[in-house]
Amino acid sequence: MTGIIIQSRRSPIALRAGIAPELEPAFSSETKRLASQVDALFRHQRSPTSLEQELLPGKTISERLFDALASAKVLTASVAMHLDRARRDKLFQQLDSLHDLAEWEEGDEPLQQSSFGTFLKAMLTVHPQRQPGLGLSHAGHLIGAWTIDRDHLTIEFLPNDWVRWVLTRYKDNEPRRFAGQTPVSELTEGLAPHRPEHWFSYEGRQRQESPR
Amino acid sequence: MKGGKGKNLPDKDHVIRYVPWGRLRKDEDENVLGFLPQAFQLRPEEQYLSINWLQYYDGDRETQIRLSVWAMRGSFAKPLGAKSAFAIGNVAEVKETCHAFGNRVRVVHEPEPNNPGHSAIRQLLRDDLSLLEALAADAFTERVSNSDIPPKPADPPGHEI
Repeated sequence: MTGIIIQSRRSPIALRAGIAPELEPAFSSETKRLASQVDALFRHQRSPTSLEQELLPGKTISERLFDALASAKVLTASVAMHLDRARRDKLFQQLDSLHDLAEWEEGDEPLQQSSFGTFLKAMLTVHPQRQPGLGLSHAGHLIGAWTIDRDHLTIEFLPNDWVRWVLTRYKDNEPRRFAGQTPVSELTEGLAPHRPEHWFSYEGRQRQESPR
Repeated sequence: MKGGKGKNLPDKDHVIRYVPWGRLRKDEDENVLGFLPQAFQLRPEEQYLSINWLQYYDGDRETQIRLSVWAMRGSFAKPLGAKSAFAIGNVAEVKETCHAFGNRVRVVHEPEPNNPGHSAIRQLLRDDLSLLEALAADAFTERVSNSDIPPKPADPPGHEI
């Protein structure tokens, strides 16, 4: 079994996808488009702390779940132009399901809005063709899961634009595991050695499945 | 009574852990595929990972699972979600999986008044995502849906003296 931890030394504060004007000629139009989409999120987002749920003593858990969902949907609406209708509807369905009161685990935190902001930035940057299954950590961090047979990629979207991820790929019936923690802007770079198309594209999966 | 507080569970035995809907591994259409690593993550206030010892109960495997699930359901303040599930793993596999990450855990009996088969994985590392993924993928390999276990029958009436 092998493993690697990628720990970026860059400060989360330094994270911005925007391209300095003097460097613009060096970037492709696709990179510029992605940067402007990610920047749109920064413009719409308030400070991370202002986005968290208020812990008012009088609020019931069902009110807190409702508030968390409403905030996530408002934040999604601010980047709605970058998500097609079907994708947005499915995302809302997944979020509703995660916040179903009948399934709610006592002591868990509802979705933290700063985690959801990180998730949206990741999705706009990576643009996965295959969307993730979603989960929620007990601290209220959104979790994205891509699964192909026994191969797993799991990304936990942390507050303040950080992600931590772990992946398992089987080779000769033995699992290989890799993990990392990076700013969301470096997620693509962190996953690059691990064939991200395997997880994110239908073509990657088909290539994997085709006889060799 | 089997076991005893703090006693190691036998390596050949199995343990079962409750996994809420939010920590199940799903695809984008919400089909359940397994467990997320975070299903085995300790909360900040937790000193050990809560599990139940299947072989605390006699009977065939189906009976052991059913009695363990009934005991776990009874130990929670609110009803467990219909879409939640239970993860089952072998004691030796759990210990070996952790050991491969340099984490020597103990799997011990920690009976509670309303859940006598309650047990614990002690000394589990708190935040090693690779280890948690290995537990989810390699150690807890069996999944039972909560909805597949029938409700516990009510005690028959008419037994008052």
